[in-house]
Order: sequence, then structure tokens, then C-alpha cells
Amino acid sequence: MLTPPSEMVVALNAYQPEALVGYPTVAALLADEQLEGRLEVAPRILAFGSGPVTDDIVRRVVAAWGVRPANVYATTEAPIVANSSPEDPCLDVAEDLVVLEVVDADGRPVPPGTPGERVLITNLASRAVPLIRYEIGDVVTPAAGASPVGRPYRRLSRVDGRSADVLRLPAPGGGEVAVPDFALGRPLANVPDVRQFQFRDDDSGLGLDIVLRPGASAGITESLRAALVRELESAGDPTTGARRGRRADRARERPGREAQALPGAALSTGPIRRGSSAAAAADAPAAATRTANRAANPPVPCAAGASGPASSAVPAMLPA
Amino acid sequence: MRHAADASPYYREALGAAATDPDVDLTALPTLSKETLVERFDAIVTDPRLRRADIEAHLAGPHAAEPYPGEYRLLSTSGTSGLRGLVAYDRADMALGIAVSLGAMVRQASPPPPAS
Repeated sequence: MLTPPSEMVVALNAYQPEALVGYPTVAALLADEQLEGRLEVAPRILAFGSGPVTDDIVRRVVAAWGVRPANVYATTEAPIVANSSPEDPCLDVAEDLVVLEVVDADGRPVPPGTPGERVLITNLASRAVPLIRYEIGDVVTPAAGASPVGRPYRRLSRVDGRSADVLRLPAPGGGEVAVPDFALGRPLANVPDVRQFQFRDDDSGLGLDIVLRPGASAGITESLRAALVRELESAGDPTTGARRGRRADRARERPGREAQALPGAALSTGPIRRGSSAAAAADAPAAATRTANRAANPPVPCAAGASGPASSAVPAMLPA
Repeated sequence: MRHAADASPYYREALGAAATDPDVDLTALPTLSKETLVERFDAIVTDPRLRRADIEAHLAGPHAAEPYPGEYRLLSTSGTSGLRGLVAYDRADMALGIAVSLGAMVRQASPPPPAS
């Protein structure tokens, strides 16, 4: 359960934390609170986890606090697996605590630069419940080269979330396509006019709710819709009908929802509240299998062997 | 690994002779799936007092954040994969996990702003 941002603002103003640790999306909301003058804190450490950190989120928190956020990869089964730092956007593996293996679908280790299918975690500090080569379906990419600041740990260049977070959508010519949820979110993730978005699956098809920023450009809904359609049209390789899921079968029985561009005026200017969103329904071709907000954003990339912070704080613009 | 094979019925069987082999290759050992962790939890733990049913009951009760039974910190996964996993850390392991996490956080700190 998320504490309402207005309550977080009051509590944080009273506490004056030196570190903010949490979900990147929540940190971005707090950055807006700071930029709009309600939140007044000066954290020196920003550590985000359980969700990719996008260029847009980096831009917002750097504008708010002048601190570059670090990306933390953690699981219940290991309190910390890897983390980035201001000097290096790659993540150092917490090898004092875990042995991390990044493997492909057949369990073979993947080379640097290649995303794995899952990871195997051996937690060196879990004697009550030994976890030896424990399988987690996270897609992470090992980085090449050593730490630019001389840390002894192996590094990861990307943490993309759960491999199970793949939507199976009907393909135009039959069969279906596999679309990772972060690909679905890609057209939306770094658009400054978009404050929040959420995909949802209901009886009318795949829907998308977007909260726009005040002053968002007039044609934004249409351009987002076009970008999303382009993304879906180029998505994945069609698979055969043999892998077709129940949801995909059901989805073909009903057409996708027609796009309905809502007036851009119903915008939230304060803390986000349920029901305050300006909804825009994308005419995606069919139903998604699940809400795809959590890992929908592409993470900040880390150039393997980078000699310094390589991620850009400049938001990528939506193709015209 | 020796501790696991000594105290965990599951690992005694799963690791076999590898548990006492000083030159054991980690990558040659069997992996542990979440399904197995959930289904065989009572055999995987190294303290027989850690029983899945009892832990679930403790976590569902009013004192879920307190150690159980008196010494283990219990954590459960959210279950987004459809299976709710359980982990228990004793005092020393919890302290080590926190220490490594805090060490990482210190490395994340930006230098303090120059004094004006």
C-alpha cells in the first residue's frame, strides 16, 4: 500500500532524511513535490530498486536534488544483489554476500553484454534457509571489464526485471507475438509530458491510462498512440499457434478498443490520486495478459567498461 | 555448503558427496527452483522449528515483524510469480545482510556540498 504523497511530504519534511531509498516511480513523484515547493529535503543518497530507473526519472531527481540516483538490485532471497554508484552506472555485484550466476534458458552462463534468461543466486548469509544456486527469473546483463573506480566486484550493465513479464498478444497474421512489458512501456517512458502511465487489461481490450503534466502539448495523446502502435507492430517474432494462450484466444473474439483521445485539460497538478488521471485508451490490437506498469520502463543503460557515468540525464524525445 | 548438508535433509540428499569435496565446482551443483523452495521448505531449512505452516501463521498474526521463534527474521515474497516464498534470517545473517547493504549505500553517497 502506497502512503499518499501528501503524507510522505509531511513526514519527510519533519524527518529530513540523508537518504531516500525506494521505488523509482515514487522517488520521481517526490522529486516533483520538491520541484513544486511542497517538499523541502536535501538527501545525499538516492537509491532506487524494484523497478528500472529511466532517463526521465534521473532527470527529475537530479533537477530536484542535484544527486544522481543509484540503482539497487535486491530480492527477498538476498538483501542486496547489486548496486550502481555515482561513479559507475554499471551495478557492482554484492559478492561479499552473494554468488551470482547469469545463465541462459539452458542454464549456461552468458557472456558480458548478453542478457540472461534467469539468475542463480547463492546467498552466503542464509544459513537457516540455505539458498544454493536459487533460480530467479530476472533478465540481467553482465558487464565487461573492471570497475572504473577500482572496486573488485564483477558488474552488471542492466537489470531488466522478470523474464515472466512478457505479454502474449495475437499477431496480425495469426499466431501471437511475445512482447516484453518494458517494450510496451518504451514509447511512454521518457516523454516529459507523461507523468505516470498504467496499462490494464479489461473486457474491452488493452487499455492505457496516462497522467499528463500540466502544460502538456496538445497533440500528445495522438503522438503517444501512434508511437505505441509502431512499437506493437514491430514487436517480437510471431510464434506458432502451439504456444497460444487462453487469453490470446479470448482476445481475438473481441476487437481492440477504439482510441478515444480525451481532452487534455483534466490533468492532475497535485499529488496523484486514484481516479485523477486523464485516461487515453490505446487501440492496441488485443488484450494484454496483465498490468504492465512495474517493469515497463527501459532502464538507464550502462556502457560496458565505461570510464564514468554514461547515462544521459537528457530525456529521449518521442519520435515525431 | 557443509552446514547445509549437515543440517538440511533436503541438501544432504541434493548435494551428496559434493558437500564435503574441497574442490567442488559450484556450477556443477543442482539448482533450487522456487517451486522446490515452496514445496520442500520444511526439509530445506536447517532448524526443524522453522515449519512452513507455523511461519505462515506467524506472518498472518499481529506480531509478524517480530523474530520467530525468538531468533529468526521472517520475510515472504509478494508472490507475483504465483508462489509465495519464505526466507528466514538468523541474527548474524541478518546483520551481515544489513552491513553489506549499508556499505553499498555509503558508496552511493554523493560527496557533501562544498562548505560556503
